[in-house]
Amino acid sequence: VGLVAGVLVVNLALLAVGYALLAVALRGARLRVWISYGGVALATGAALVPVALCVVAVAGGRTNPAAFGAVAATLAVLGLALATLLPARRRALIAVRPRPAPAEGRLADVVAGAAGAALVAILIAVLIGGFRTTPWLDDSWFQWLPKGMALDRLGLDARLFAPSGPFRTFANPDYPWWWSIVTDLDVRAVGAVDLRALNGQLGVLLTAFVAATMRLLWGRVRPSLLCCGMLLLVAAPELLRQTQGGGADVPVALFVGLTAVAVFVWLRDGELLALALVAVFASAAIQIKDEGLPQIAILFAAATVVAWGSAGPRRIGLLWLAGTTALSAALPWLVWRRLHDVPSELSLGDGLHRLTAFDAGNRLHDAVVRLVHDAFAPRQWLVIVPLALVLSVGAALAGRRLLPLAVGLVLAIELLFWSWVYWSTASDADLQYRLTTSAYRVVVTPIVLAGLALPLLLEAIAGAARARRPLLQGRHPAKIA
Amino acid sequence: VALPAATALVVLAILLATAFLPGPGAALRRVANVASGRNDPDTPDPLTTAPLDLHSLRRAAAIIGSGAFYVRAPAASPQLSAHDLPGVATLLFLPARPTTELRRADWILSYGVRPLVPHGVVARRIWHLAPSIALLEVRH
Repeated sequence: VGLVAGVLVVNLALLAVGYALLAVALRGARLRVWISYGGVALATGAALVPVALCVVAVAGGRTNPAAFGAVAATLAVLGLALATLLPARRRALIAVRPRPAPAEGRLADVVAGAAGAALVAILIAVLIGGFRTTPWLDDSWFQWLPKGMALDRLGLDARLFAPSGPFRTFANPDYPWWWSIVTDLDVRAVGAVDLRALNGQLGVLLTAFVAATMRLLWGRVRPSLLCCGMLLLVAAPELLRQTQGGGADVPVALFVGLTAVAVFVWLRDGELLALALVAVFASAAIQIKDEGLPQIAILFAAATVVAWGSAGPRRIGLLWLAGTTALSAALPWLVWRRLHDVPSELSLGDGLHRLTAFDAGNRLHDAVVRLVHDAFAPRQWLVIVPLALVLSVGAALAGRRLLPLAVGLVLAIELLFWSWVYWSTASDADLQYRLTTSAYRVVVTPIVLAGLALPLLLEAIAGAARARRPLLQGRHPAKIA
Repeated sequence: VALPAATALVVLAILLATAFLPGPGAALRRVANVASGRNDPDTPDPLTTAPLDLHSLRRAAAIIGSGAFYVRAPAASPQLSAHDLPGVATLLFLPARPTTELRRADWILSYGVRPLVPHGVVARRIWHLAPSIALLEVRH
């Protein structure tokens, strides 16, 4: 049906599935509320349909358009059935509760409008550019798309997906198939092997990510701070460049980021819809790349440590239950990998063995230096990471609490994790090659997390300043209330 | 709502307008890969390090059915023979499977190598896609 129409058809189907799954929470809401959840719906459909197709592949089915239609229809019917059959009082527990945006002054309104317009302009350019650019990353055509096409046309043929015999095995056989399945569906809908479909899909995912994040944080952060924070992230030249790379690094970063936003909303306000979204988005993050699982684990561990006191053990416990649910969706694939002797490149056992053997050399130093360099590079990532670190200290001082320092903690753990990965999986001989060819991509997730933290930290500082203002003005807080 | 919405419309209009002017909109044009900002190929084909005759490979893809295929390329160019050509061939030739053993192949793509028909192989049919590029259907 053509490049743009083909990708749009797939995404409209994913959007419809997402809305059907969200219907239980949106039923009874106004039309504009439904529309405002468009990004969340698309991200939900885009997360779950390919995850379900991964299970279909392991079960012996093909991931062709017929399977896509069957899975999409099944999920949509399940969602609509839940929305229809669940008693109203149960539905009320998960129903969306739109919050009005905090009132701001005229200047802040103008800033919000201008930043929002700039965001829209960039996303329009991303969408146009995606459909006009072939991916620059060879992984896109060397492994991601061919794997999806093989799952579509041949099913899960172990001769291609596991090292064996006389057939040429796909590169990185330990990688999961979410991105492969999505890109194959796009190409199928386009009707030809057109690599630009991958970049078009990345543009759509980035747009859905921005829309979903703004929806979930709306009412919790002042619009001017939310728009400016998101603008700084989306305007980062390297994010825009990688959105035209065709690889899976941007999708995994977006879904880890969306998981982080949902975790924040759940722990802060206890909204059940956010908890469900944690499971949905984390399941996709785990099935996009190997590093999705450890990065989700880092996120959950950090959230548990910093929010234990404020959120309480019940919310923390349910958070881990959602994470376990997300992981369980990947179990069939993990079992298949184990049965076919396809070990993960990120092996905890190997890493610990090298750790105990003190087999570090200069690899650790080189990896840390390279990762920090890439994460702080101002031409690539503007000032996202240093600003997040400064604001986290500022928010901690302004609010006289340690919680905002979690941003620095997560970034530090992320960088240590990746340093450990390079240290434990690369030899002295190939470390520099691997750092050069992949470090600039693996930092996308921590930087997206830092970018998402910007509006939250700005809000924390602004909230603390507003709370102190009456005291500074010599007025009693009670009068303000 | 009116003030931020009005501001957004004005700024959006200005940004989109400047995208068509020299200078100010260069960043947006580069992201959109249009006009003077174009810096990446606008093609459906994969971007390879070694130059490949994609036209011939797509012609071969239209001919190849199922079975196993084997690619032959000059060993002197590892980027071509070990990465780019097998990768693009796998992408375009699926559902045919890539094999690493010549004797198992139902199809052979000879790309820049002589002889076009390898020793010991009996070709049922040969398609000469370009000078020094040929697709062979193998008689077992």
